[in-house]
Amino acid sequence: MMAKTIKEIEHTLYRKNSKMRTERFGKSLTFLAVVLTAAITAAILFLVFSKGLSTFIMNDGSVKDFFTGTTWNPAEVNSLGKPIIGALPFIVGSLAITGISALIAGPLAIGAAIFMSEIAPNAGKRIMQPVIELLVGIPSVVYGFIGLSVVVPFLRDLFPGSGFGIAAGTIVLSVMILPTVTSLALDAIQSVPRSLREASLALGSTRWQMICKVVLKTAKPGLLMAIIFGMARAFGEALAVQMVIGNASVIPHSLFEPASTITSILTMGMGYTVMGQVENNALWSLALILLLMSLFFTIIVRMIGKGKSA
Amino acid sequence: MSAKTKDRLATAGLYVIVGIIITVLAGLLGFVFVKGIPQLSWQFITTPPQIFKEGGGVGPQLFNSFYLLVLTLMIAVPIAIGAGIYLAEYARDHWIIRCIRVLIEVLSSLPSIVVGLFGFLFFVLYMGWGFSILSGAFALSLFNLPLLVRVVEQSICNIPKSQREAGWALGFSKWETITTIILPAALPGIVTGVILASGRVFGEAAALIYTAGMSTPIIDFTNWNPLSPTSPLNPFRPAETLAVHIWKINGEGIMPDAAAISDGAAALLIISILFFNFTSRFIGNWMFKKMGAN
Amino acid sequence: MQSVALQPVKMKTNRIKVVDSPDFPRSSVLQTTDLSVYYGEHCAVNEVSLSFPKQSVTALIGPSGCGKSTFLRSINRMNDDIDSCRTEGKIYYEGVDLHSLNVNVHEIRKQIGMVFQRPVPFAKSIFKNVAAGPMRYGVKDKRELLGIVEENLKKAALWEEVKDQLHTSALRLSGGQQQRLCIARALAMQPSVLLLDEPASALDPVSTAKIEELISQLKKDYTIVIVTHNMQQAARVSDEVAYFYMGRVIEHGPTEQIFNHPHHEQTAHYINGRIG
Repeated sequence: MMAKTIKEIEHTLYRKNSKMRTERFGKSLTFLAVVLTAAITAAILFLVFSKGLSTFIMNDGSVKDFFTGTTWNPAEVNSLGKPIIGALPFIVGSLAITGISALIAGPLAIGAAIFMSEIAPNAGKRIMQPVIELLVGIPSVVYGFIGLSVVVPFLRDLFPGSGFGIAAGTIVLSVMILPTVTSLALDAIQSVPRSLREASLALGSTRWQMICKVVLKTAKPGLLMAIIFGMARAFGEALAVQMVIGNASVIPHSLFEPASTITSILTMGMGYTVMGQVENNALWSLALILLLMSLFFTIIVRMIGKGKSA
Repeated sequence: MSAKTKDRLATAGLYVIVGIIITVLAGLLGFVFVKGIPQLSWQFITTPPQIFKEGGGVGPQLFNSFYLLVLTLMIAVPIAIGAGIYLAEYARDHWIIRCIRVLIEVLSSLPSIVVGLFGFLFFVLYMGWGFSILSGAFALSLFNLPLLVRVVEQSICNIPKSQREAGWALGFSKWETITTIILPAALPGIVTGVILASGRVFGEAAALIYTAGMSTPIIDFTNWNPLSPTSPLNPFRPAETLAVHIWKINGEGIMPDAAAISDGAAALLIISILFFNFTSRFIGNWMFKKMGAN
Repeated sequence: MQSVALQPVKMKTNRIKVVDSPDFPRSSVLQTTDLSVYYGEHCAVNEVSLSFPKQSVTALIGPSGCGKSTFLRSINRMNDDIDSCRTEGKIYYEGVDLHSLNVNVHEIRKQIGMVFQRPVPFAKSIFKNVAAGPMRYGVKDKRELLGIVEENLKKAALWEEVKDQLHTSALRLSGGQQQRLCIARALAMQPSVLLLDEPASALDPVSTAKIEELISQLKKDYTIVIVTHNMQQAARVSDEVAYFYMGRVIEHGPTEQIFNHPHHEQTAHYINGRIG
C-alpha cells in the first residue's frame, strides 16, 4: 500500500503544470470584463435614477406638474413654491415624432423587405442590401444636416411657418430609421422557412396571398421587433432632431410649428445649467424619462422575442 | 377583385414603395456627394477652421475623430474580447449570468445622449478630466461595448465545438484552447465587426458634445509629446470631432461659408464610413482566405 | 452513487460475464473496472470492465448508441466538460486511478491522445497544427520544432505529401490528409495510448486504407483503442475486439476468436448482420 502511494506520487500524471493557474487567471480576467460591462450599466442606471429623482425629492418638484404642466421654467417657482417643471411639451414632442416616424418608416421598410426577399431577391441581395447596410451606418448628424438644408426650406416653401417643427423632425427620423428597420425586417422575413412558402404556392395561392397569409403572418413578431427597435432609435435620437425641430418649449398646434423633444432640450440645456441646481436636476429628470422609455422598448422587444421562441 | 388582380396591384405597390425609398436614399447620398465633394481639397482636410472668415478647414476635427476612434478601440476592444470570451466559453445558465446579459442588452439600447450625460457626470466632473479626448473615448467605449461584446461572442460561438475538443484532447487547458485556437480562428469575424463598429464611433456626436467637448484648442502638429498642452496627442485636451463640428456650425457657426464647410465635412464623414465598410469587407475576406476557409 | 433513482435499469438477461481469452496478455497499460457513464439519468455505459494490452489495437464495435464512443471519451476524461455527465467506477492508466484527486487532467490527455470522427485541423498552417502541442509544452526552439513536426508527419505517413507546403493552411488539405494530420498532431504530444473515434468514417476508401495501414504501423509503439462501425476494418486492424450493446460489453477477446467463434449468439448476429 505504502509502496503504491509512493509510486503514484512519482507518476507523471501527478505532475503539476501552470495550466491550472493560467486557467483560473484567464477565467477570472474575462469574468472581470463581464462584470465591468454590467457594472457600468448599473452605474449609469443608478446615477440617472438618483439625479433624475432628486428634482422631486430634493427640490420638491411635483410629479403631476412634470407630466401634465406645459410650462418649463425650472429656475422659477410657482404660487405653491414648487419649481415650474411642466415637461409635457417635450414628452408630447418625443412621442409624436417617434409615433409618426414609425407609421411612415414601418410600412415602407416592410414593403422594401418583402420586395427584396420575395419579388426581386437577386437585385435585393446584390444592390439594395449593401446600400441599406451602408445607410445604417450613416451618422445621425448627417441626417440632421440634410434635414436642415433640404427638408426645412422645402417645408417652409410649402406650408406657413419657418419649416422647423415636428413635420421636419419626423421626415428626418423616418429616413434615418428606415435602413435599420428594413434590414431587421428583411432578417425576419428571410427567416420564414422556404417550405412554408412553397406549400402555400403549391395550394394555388397567388404570390401576394402567399406573402400575406404565410410570410407576413409568420414573420409578424420579427417585424414588430424591427419597428419597435426603430422607434427606440427615433425616441433616443438627439442631434438630428434638435437641428430641425425648432426648439420651442410649447405644445405646437400644428406639425409645422417649432416644438421640442426630450432629447433636444437635453442637448440644448445641459451646457447652460450648473450641476446640483434645480434647473440641472430637472434636466436629469428628463434624462430619466428617456432612460425609462428605452427600458420600456427593450422589455417589449424581449417579450415579443420570448413569445416568438415559445 | 380577383386574386390575380390583387397580386398585380400589390406587386405594383411594392415597386412604388421601393422606388420611393431608392429615390430618397439615392437623393440623400447624391446631395451629400454633389454638394460636398467639390469642397474637398487638401487644404480643407488639413487646415484648422476659421471663426469669422471664409476658407477654414477641418484638419484638427478630422484628426480628433481618428484619435478618438483609436483611443476608444484601445479601451473597448480588450474589455469586449474578455467579456465575449467569458460569455461564449465559460458562462453557464445561471441567474447572475442572465442578469448580466440583461444589463448588457440595456446598455446597448440606451440613447447615446444618456451615455454622454453619464460620461459628463462621471468622467468630466467626478474624475476631473474635464472636456477631453479621454472623457470622450471612455464615453464612446461604454456606448459601444455591448455591440463589441456581441461581435466577439458571436464570432467565438461560430467556431465549431469540435475545435475546442481537439484542443482539450491535446492536453490544452480551456484557456489555452481559447487563446491559441479559438480566438485566432474567430479573428476574421472579430476584426470585421470591430471595423464596422468603428464607423459608428467615427460618426457619433451626441455622446461627445458633453464629454470631448465642442472646441479644439490650437494644436501644433509638429509637437508629438503627449504631455504637452499643444500636442495633438494630449489626451486631456478638449477635442471636437468631425461629426460634432457639423452639428455645431449648423447651430452657431458664424463663418460665412458655414454651409459649404458642413457640406464638405458631411461628405468627408460619409466617405470615411464608406472606407470603414469596404475595409471591413476586404480585410474579413482576406483573412478568411488566408486561413484557407474558402 | 448519489441516489438510488439514478441506478441503471438492469437488463432482463442476467449479467453476462465478460469473456477473457486464456492467452490474454497481462501487461495492460489501460484498464477500466465497472466503469459507468450517465448523461443525466440515462446510463450510456454500464459497468464496463476492459483492459487494453500494451502495443495492441483493440476495436470497440457495436450498434450506434451502444456507448462505445462515450466509453472512449471517458478514458481521457473528455466528458468532464459536459455538465450533465457523471462517471462511476475506475479507470487505471499505468496503475494510476485517473479520477483520483491530484491527477492532472491535462497530463492525462497529453499521454492519452485522441483523434475524432471528423478531421478537425486548426485554422493554422500544417506546421503550426503539429507544433501547437509541443509549443504549449515549452518547446521554443524553431529547429527542434521542425524536427518534431517532420518526425510526426512521417509517422503519420503524411510527410512526403506536405513537406513542401508546411506553411500553407491545413484547411487546404483533403479530408484524408487532414485526418492523418490530426493523428500527427496527437503523436507530437508523445502519448502512449491513442484513442481513435471512428477515424475513417468520414473518409473515402483510399484514405481509409491509408489510415488503416497507418494504424498497423503505429501499433508497434502505441496502445490503440479504436471505435469502428466497419466490421472489415475491425477485422483488418485489431488484435482484440470488444462488442458493446446497450452500454455493456457483451464479449471481449482476440479478434480472430470473436469473428470466427463468438461465444455469444448476439455477437454473432451483429457481426454476421454486418458482414452479410
